[in-house]
Amino acid sequence: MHGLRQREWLDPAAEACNFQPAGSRPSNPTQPGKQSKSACNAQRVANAIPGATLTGNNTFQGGHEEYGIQVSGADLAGAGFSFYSSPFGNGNGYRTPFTGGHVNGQPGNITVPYAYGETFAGQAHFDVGNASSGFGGFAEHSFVDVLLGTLFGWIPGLHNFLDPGC
Amino acid sequence: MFLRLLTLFIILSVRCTAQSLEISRTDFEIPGGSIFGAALSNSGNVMYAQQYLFDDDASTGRQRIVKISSWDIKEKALLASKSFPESQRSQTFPCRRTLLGLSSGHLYVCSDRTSIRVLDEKRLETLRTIRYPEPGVIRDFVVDEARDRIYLLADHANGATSLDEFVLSTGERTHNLALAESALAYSPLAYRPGNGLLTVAFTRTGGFGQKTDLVFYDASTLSMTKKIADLPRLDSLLFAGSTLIAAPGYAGSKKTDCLLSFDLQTFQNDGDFCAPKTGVDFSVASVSNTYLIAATGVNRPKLFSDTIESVSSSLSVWSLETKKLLTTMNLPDGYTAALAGVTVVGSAGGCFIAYQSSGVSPTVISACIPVHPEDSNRTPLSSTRPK
Repeated sequence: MHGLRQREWLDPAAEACNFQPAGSRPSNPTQPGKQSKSACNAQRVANAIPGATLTGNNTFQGGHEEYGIQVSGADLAGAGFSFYSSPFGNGNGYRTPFTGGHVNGQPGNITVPYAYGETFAGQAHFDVGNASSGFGGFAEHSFVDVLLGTLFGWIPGLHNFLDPGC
Repeated sequence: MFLRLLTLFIILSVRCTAQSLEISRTDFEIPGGSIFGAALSNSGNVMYAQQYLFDDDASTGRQRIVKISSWDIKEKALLASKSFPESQRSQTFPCRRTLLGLSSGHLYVCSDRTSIRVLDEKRLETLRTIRYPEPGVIRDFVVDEARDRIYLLADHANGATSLDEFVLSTGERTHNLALAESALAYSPLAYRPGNGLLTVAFTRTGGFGQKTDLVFYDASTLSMTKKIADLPRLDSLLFAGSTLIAAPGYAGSKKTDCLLSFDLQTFQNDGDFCAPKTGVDFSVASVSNTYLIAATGVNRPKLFSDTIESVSSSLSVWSLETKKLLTTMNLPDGYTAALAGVTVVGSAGGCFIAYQSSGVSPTVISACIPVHPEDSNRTPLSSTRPK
């Protein structure tokens, strides 16, 4: 069910590179229309959460590029997101997953779902494994996004190696 | 012997006490938070804030608006406010720069992304707009009222970026320069009116993270005069006297991160402003040409996790002349959290403010440092003028 939903998400997300929110621009003016991976993934975040607003504060963490966003509980619910707490998240309950991606709160200490209308500052990225799609997705997320991301994400050139290609 | 030592200890204690910085601090809230741009009056008594909010008007439905307001900081009282609906919904925050023309008293904003709006500082009435003549998006701008010029950076639909010069009084474009690089830094533009020097910061990914290239332009011709490449990620620039101060970006996870200082004669780094216990990040401002204020704090990337935790949040104050860290002020938990960022705005009158840029916190930190009148008139670090 969730795996199917993930594919449903990824297909429109793959088309996201034709959508260009202000502030996320192609990196090479000599190649109009060719976007950097960073700009393309920013657009995927924007497309996945139509109500979210990208703040422009981005950084790398654990093999992913984290995109600063401002978003409300209503925006997340409207985009099909749901709160959960995982074994890794116990204690800081950081993740509000959506298929193929995560929205974490700042400073990473979400312990309860945000109220429907409450706006909060978050950080969004796309995962390889969808932790909310059952045991298989959780295991894939744990091994690939969490373990490999931590082990290799700090290496030059691999800062966002786990972000899906655009 | 003991009495001598005791006397020496007392004298040193008194001297240390006399040298400590007395900062009067007042925190207040701007309802709704989501502040993305702000300016201070010369005295530091009035704050001009731009917020990105939802308007739940029954007739028009829910829509994004930019609210511009002015606040009496001492009284924590609203003076005036105006709201502008987003004409075109965008999924990025509006253009952040907010400038107060100290000679005209006009407030300049670029938050509608396609024009520079000139407002009356008292009632915040729109006096005029300078519309960008192409379908580009304004990313940043600076104003030189003495030379009747405005300079702006714009992103274009084909991915290119340009630097443009306009006549402030007429809105006529006088120069248009297509830039070779296009990925602009978070706060990419700085201007030094004394010698008409513009600096644009470009960002790119490389090596151990994001890199920044600083490119300097002569404002009168928009010709490139110098490029400093391969700097660490920089998110904020500030001309202070004959130096350019740059604040590192990202999250304050490295305690070795410092404010960089570049001598404009040599374009070399002439020493850093550091905060060894916290590292420096996000934003820098000058107060009365005497002090530098920057956001500091510790944010720790979590191992085996994809989150960054905020450990501490603070503002730090340095002497502009000696580069010595003078004091650190604690901020509310998570205030300098990774990705939310903090923006600091200073004034010539000894006061400064800090707000969570694009975050949701409504809390504005307001503080003043006693300064001598002559301090705000002098040029710090060096009296020589480059070029």
